[in-house]
Amino acid sequence: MKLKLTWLMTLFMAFVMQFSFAQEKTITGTVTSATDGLPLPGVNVIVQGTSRGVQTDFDGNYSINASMGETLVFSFIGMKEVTVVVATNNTINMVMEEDVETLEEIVVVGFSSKSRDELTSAVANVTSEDLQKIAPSVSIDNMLQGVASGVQVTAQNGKPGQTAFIRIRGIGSITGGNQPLYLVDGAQMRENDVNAINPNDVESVSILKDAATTSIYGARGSNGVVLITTKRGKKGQDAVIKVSSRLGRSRRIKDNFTMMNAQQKLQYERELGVGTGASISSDAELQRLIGLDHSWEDDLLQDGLQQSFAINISGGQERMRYFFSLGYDEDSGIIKDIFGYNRTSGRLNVDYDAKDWLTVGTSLAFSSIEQGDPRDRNNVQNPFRGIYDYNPYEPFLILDDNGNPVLDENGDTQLNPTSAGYPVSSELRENLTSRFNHRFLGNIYVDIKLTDNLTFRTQGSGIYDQFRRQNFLMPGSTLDLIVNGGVPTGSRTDNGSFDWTYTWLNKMTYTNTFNEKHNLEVTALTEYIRNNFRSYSANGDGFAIGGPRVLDVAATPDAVGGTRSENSLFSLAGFVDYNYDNRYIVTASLRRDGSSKFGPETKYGTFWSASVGWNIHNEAFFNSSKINTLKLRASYGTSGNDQIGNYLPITTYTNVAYNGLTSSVANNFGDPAVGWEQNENWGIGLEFGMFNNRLRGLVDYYNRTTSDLLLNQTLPNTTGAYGITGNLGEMVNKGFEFELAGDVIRTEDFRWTLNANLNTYDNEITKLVDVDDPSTPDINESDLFTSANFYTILRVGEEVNTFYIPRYAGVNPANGEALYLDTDGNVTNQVDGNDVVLSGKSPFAEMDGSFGTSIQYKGWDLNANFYWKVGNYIYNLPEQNMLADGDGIESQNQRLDAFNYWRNPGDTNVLPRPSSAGFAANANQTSDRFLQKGDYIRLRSLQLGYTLPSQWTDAIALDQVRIYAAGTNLWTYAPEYKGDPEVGIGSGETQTAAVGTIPGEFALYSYPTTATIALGFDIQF
Amino acid sequence: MKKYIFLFCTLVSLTFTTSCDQDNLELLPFNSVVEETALLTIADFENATNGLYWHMIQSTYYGADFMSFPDVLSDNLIINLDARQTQRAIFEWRYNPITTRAGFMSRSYRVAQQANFILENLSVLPDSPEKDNVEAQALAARALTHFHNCNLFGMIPTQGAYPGQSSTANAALGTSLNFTSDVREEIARSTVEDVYASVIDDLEEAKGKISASNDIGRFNLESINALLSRVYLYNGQWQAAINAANEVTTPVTSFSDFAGLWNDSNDGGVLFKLINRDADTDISTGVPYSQTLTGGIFSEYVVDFGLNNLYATQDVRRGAYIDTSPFDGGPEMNHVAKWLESSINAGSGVLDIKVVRAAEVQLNKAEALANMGMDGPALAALDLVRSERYVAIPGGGETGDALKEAIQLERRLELAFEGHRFFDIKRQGLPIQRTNAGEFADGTGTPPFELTLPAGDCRFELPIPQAEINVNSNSQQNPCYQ
Repeated sequence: MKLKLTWLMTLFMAFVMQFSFAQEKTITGTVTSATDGLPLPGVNVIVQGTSRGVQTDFDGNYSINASMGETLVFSFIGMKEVTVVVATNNTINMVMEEDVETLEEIVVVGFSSKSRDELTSAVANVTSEDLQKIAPSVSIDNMLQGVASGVQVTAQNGKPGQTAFIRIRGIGSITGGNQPLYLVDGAQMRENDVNAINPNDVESVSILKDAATTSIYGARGSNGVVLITTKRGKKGQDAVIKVSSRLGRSRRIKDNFTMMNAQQKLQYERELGVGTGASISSDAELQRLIGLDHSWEDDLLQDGLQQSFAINISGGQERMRYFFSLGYDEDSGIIKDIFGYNRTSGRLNVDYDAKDWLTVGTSLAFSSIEQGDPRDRNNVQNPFRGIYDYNPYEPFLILDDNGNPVLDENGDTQLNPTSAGYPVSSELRENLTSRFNHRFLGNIYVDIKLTDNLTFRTQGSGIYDQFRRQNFLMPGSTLDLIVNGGVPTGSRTDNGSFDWTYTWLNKMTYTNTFNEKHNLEVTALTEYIRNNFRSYSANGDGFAIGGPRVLDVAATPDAVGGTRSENSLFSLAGFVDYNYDNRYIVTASLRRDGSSKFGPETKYGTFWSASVGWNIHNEAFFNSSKINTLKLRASYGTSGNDQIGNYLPITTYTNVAYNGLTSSVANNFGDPAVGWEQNENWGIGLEFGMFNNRLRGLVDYYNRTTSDLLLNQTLPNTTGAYGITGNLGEMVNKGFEFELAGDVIRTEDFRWTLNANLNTYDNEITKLVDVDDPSTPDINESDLFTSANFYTILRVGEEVNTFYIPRYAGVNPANGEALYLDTDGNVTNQVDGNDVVLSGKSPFAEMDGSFGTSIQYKGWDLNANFYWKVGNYIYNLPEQNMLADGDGIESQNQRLDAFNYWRNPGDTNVLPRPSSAGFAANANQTSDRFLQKGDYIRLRSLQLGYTLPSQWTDAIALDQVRIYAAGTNLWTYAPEYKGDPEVGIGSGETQTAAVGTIPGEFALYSYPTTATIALGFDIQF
Repeated sequence: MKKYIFLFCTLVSLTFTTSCDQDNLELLPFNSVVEETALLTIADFENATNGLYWHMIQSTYYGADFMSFPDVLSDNLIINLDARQTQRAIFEWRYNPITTRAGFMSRSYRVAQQANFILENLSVLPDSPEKDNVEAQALAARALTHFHNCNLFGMIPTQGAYPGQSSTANAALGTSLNFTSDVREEIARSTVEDVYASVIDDLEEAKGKISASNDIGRFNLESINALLSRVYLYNGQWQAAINAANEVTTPVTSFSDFAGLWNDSNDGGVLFKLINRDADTDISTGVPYSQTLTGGIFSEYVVDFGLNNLYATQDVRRGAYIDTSPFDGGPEMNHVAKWLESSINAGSGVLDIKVVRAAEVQLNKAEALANMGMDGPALAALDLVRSERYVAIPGGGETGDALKEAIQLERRLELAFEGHRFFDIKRQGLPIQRTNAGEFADGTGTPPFELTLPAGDCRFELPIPQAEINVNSNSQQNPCYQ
């Protein structure tokens, strides 16, 4: 209403102006604050409809040229905007009032923004100010860890530029996707696209957790929604230029165990009578080998160098607002000899009021990423396995007996293949892989104000991802000679994809207030989303050593490939928000989605929600001097998950070749009744604030049932079909979320805040494809393995992906044999076939949380954030290799505690008797011996900053200068897990897209998490 | 007013989108076609017919499994325990409903499913010789699926009584007869008698419709007659087997061509083979037997010591079938050489798969004739094979039981490692008796833990896969595994 009046007045004044004399004169005055009467520096004073504008000085004084009849607009962040028409008086002093509403937290929820008071939903909101307190990362999702309750963020791995797994309120799907819906300024993107966004551009991240807000997203909302909003310019604000720069080092986090050094490893080999150690004939030989002791980590890894540079310019005039940014990030990564990561990004967000009823605008961003691609696989091509495997007495280069490098015929040093048989540095230097992503993302929109109460918006948004990967295996390199039988050949592969998703949104919103107490907002919208994907690959063999490397010069074209797919979604939706006197709030939503991914019978789905909120503190009867905020809210609703294949319900025939002839065969047997996974979600929450809101907190409970889980149903072998996907399973997630924050000290100069959150997770599978037969309690007919289950199983009544492996029962003191329990619990020395469900042990945490502190004292700020997680289990494959009980230890260094093995009858608390010369132990088998609790606590982020006093910055004509030091992952404590406990991907080439990834199921030498320390500054002028 | 015009335009275009809603939401894949449009023209049907062979050559059917496990089950091979121990449960007759040949059953029935899909849609085509040729190939492919599954999981008519189940093999359970492309069917097992009747019907109908010009890369008149002679022989219809064999005109592989047949440099005596090429199907048929590594041939299974001794030094098959060499400096072994190297393909073990050959037809005929007491013609048929295998025929002129034995010996020698031996023992109701000797060429090493499978043992009928039992309520497990 107020805004509208302003506009009308403006129009009126503009009209009047036509008839008045343009009599320009100098207006001066002082701007003060209504609260304390003190002068306000930095207030924007502009002449409406012109580009003339000034700012008040340190004492609140200003001076501007204006004509009679022109309007001066005074604006300042946190203050209500004031306008005044220039009359005869040459002095205009202005008193500005605090704008209470804008100080209140505004939360973006779906298709509108709400203040906290108006919310009926569990929403985690992270603002740019919050993000500034977190040690920076190139990918925004990694900065969200521990920041929001009920949102588990796990780094996929430590590779530079890698994104994170975000799981909101548990695990919602088995074979479908578990990633939330990511929307950046309305454009839908995938989990792996998030690193396209420069975190400096982000104004806020809203994470929608419950039905009241996720149902609005219908068939895509069941795993929660992450809304990322980028920064925009502000009206009447002079250009603010901000320059940020940062320089940091990263290093692999130190292991909480010790590997053997040369002397120890040789000793171990001698004890076992295997390997190099066993064949040493003289002390001189032994001493020579011990003298070669070195750390392979020093040879293969390095300290990473991280650089970041960003500049942004934002501001606005009467009719136009803009935000412009450029950024460049680089991270060398911690692997020697290989390029890490860089990203160039740019953005321009513009809003323009073309008419008083018409606003047009755009958010456009570009980002280009280049990544070096080390093999993430479990073999000698992976340096992160190499640093543990290679024997410390084996040198990096081939040396002669005098310790001098042996040269090849060209006079070059030669890499030592070691007893592992392959020099990993050759892989890094001569098998070169790079990945490139060029992404365009953004939106264009038109806003029309139809009447005072009715607005209409049409918006197109999208993301275009052009991906390219190139691999060149150099002719004559070690791997090349192996795969080509000793003939230098060389091989090149180019592959990539074009992925284009766009959304067209039309939205009509009606808002009104009746009798000053009844606040109503009604929205109706249509949305059309379409994705178009194309891919290609080409491979050629035969290159000259040192010659050109493009496919054109390949001697033999080898293989080509390429495909294409599409999907689309069309939706109609309506929402109603009703708010009575800011005391009672009721919302309801209804959405009908039609999706190309589903069958003719299930193409359309209807999703709905209802929620209520009660602001008890706004009630007249509520009269407490201690409690200022007390709110109850509850929501219930449905949503869906459409993260499945594009053409699942259709039976299709594809073409293959037999004897060079086109042959058609069935490639999918579809069930036309396949529909989305349904999510039914209810939750209740309580929010409170006490002692003038110095103590704030909330408690949430949620219960989320996912039914119609898409699972593969086995069909009879005699029908000729292996299986068909149907809506067959069901599971339940429930948990509590607690948040508490308190301002211990809150004065003008000194502010000390403590905060913590805690979340519990409980998951249970309630239905799978097959039904358990109650007459056979020993047999679980419903047990199910998907391709993603390596050590785990799906069983009704258990947590999703519960570990399913044999139980280790220690060492037989009599003979040193490894003992296991059979399925009935009897001790046996046979491990095969004794797999059992380890109830309650799954890769998913039972609880996680974070706590932190924030101190601001004058110009200083200190922020620390700890993240912790308990109750998850990780299968530790590296440990199985490092405590190999003698198996293959000739080419595999061992952990120092491998010495603690059974030697004599009666030994207890020892490792099994290892395989040795003439004795095969066969002890190192898959069992829960290597299953470890993944509990940990980590100092996720620590940051110390200093903002220079304004009298200094004024002197050098700068508005603000802040310098800071920031660290991530500086300290970790994992009581049981040996290695880094933040495990996402175990091994990227084992857990492929085709088989799926269960985050944290096992560790297997993926790129490790790093600790970083960075120094940086932000300058604003 | 302008804003209303703008809004009007937007709403109009929005309505347009909404009306296109149906079209926009019905998106079809780009790498395949839907079943409704898969079979419209004769070219579509011919492509789908090629698809039958593509399925047949996959490794779980003819590509690797069917060319190895019937020999692994029998007395032709011995396991090398130092290798990966693939198929060990099969070798030691320790299979159960989980470890049985479920992959073989699935893949072979996919052939039947595809054949049925073709047959169900054929009516869209006008009558033509091309249409008949498509129908004939589909019928023949389906017949083979039913024939093989019945022989493996059920009984063979000439086998005799099934202890505890039926007085004759014909009354015992065979396999599920699949006559539909609907994958939701739950098909009960038919009796052996019904399965054989269906197999013969399908093949006889195919015989009448198959094109005379089909090459050996697909079903043709010669191979259908050849397969009929095998089916009739298994079914105890001696005269029918002889008649079918008599219609086959292709001569058996000559002595001089024989070695080249096994590296695909000639097609002597081949009636039907699945063509295997690096560039498309690229199936390593030899992998169940061995892999060639830098240390030499690394065998999973080597030739049974007793069988090895049955190959005379002047037998051309000794060199073509057996490679005696050490692996990695160890003792010499008798590796199976039948699927080692192709003269056409670079891929190790990528060879054409011989489905049926003229030599088998003559042996089918000889056996049927001998069973009818016609020793003279039987000996003549046998000698058609023997004369092309030896420098000089050993023995010769046999009659009576000696002739029958000579026919069986020649059959074992000729068809070893081609997926015949288990069925040849089983259909005669004989026991499997392995040689008590190890894996090395001189018979030393570790002899098989299991040497004998007695005649009439219920393990001659492999277990129906557990998955089939679980999801097909009409199926029935064999008594041995209940």
